[in-house]
Amino acid sequence: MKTLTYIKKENLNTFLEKLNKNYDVFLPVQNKADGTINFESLDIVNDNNVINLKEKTRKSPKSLFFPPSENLFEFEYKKDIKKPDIMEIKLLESEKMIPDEINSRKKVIFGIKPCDTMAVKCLDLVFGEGEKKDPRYVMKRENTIIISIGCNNIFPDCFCTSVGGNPFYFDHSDLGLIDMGPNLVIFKSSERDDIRELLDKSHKFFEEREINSDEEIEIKKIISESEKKCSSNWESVNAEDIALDMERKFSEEEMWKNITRKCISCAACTYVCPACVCFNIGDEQTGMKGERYKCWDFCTNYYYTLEASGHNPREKIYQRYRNKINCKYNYFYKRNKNLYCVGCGRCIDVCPVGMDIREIVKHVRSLQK
Amino acid sequence: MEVIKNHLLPKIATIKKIIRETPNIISLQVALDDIEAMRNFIFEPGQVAQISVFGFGESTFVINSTPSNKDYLQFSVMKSGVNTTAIHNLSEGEKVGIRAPLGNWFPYKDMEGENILFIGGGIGLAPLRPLIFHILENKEKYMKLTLLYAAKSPDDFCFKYDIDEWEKSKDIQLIQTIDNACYGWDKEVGLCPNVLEKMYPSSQNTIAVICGPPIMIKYTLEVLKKLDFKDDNIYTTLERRMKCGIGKCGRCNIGEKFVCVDGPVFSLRELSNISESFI
Repeated sequence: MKTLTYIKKENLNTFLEKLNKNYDVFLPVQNKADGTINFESLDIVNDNNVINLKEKTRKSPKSLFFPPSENLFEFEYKKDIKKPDIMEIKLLESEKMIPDEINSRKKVIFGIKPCDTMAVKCLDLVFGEGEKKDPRYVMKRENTIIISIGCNNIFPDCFCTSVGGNPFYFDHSDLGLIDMGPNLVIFKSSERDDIRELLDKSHKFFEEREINSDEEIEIKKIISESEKKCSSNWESVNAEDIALDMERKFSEEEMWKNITRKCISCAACTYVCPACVCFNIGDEQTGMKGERYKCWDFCTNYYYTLEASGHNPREKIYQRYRNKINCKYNYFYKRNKNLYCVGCGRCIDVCPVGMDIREIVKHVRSLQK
Repeated sequence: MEVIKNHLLPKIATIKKIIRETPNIISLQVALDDIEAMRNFIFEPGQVAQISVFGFGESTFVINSTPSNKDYLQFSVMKSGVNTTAIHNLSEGEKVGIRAPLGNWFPYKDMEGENILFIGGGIGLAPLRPLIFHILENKEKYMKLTLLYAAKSPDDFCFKYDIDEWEKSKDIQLIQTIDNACYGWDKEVGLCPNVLEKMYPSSQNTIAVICGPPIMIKYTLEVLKKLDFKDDNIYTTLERRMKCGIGKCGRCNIGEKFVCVDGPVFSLRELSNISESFI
């Protein structure tokens, strides 16, 4: 007989507060003043900020692993009095930062949506796997527990089912929960040691009993309804097909110009995208000391590919937008067998000129060739 | 927790010598401060390095000294942007940061037993230089070697010290051309593609290796095609704006290829499979 492990919603706040004693808990918090929801530390929840697990966050949680700006190392110029013409330089790898990360408490991201966990997989493939891993990313990732809640509410711009996910996709979560009215039910749990530890530590919040047939039916119903609603937002796309189609229609310059005419290359879409991974590297110096930092960058910007000679291989907006779409649906699929669009719909939500990535892809696909 | 190397952290190196090549190009000879690391430094012809001037930034340059040289690494830098200007302002004895070697290299083993036609334009000879040296050091494995070197004017030829040597050498045939005739110039006059067409090299058992500004590559490739060179037998090295050099930052992509890890050396066969233009 299957068992049902669940936590009562009325106990959720106490559970989270208890959790926050041993872990740094991050979760979707709504600012009452402007209504925006973003991932924030539980510590800031007070009268002006409330936890909101129902809606989508405005910004993606990627900054918890891949911060908008991060120092790579610090440098310091030094002058030797015996050799006044020569500046010596000392590099201090921001070693301070790494032990900080090791010694710091484990993080828990609570209430992340399944689409955002698919995006964490996208980040993993770039920063956390392969030969040249990013040490800071790997540490942050190992130090974080991902607790995901499936989506009972589907919004008009949601389309995870079209890009290989679904509203209850928990493959990249350490713990997957389903919202069943008064209770949050554990639907999937990973075998990680730290998950078991977390559950052991907070066992008194979780109740366990046999599942009855009504409940089994209800779970199935919640899942199938959400899936149905989400897939009605957009047709399902086969990754292989779409990559091929993108490739075939790459040189249709006129079509690309037409469908990207509205774009003003403001980069809001890449800013909120949970799967966009491009970054820039720069130096900042004050006096004799400085640091090299890495920060988010966006491929729809003119300066992104501008070379010192003045040559720019992607001079026009349509070329850059085409690169962005191909990056998500074609290039990364070829490189990693993974689409870099997870269907969260944030880019549709924030676009100031109303571009819809689904419409763009639909246009490309509908062109007869 | 396993310790993972920070691949974006450079090694400190000292500028041993600065050579002025042309009015706006200098060559730097730098040695890593870590003597052990310098002695064990291995690279292949065509590979690149990221040079940092701390406080200004980091840019990519091909290592153009010969791989057999263990004393220093040479880079040629044209003054054109923020970081290259900072490099030009350095003097001998000053420090830079180096991350190297990065990228792929010329498949010189596959070129054995063939004639090789090198085509360089201006500073575009830099990526070919380590390859030419390597091949000259192993001359017996290769057939006829030809170098077509084009520049705007006689002043714009880099590596004049090499040119003098190659002119005298029996192992390599050197053809130099400038864009417009000028007083005292007794060699070829004309743009690289036109001179190449006039040379009419045979494509039989010949591999062409070409590097130069984008516009030169574009038209020279057309001539090579006209001369019946196969895509597999044409190699070029490309450049893009780069940042990380390890295939993460996403900047240098041409289609699904990253110039920093899949390149900078590409055969025309590989490039013709990419939809996006590589010029």
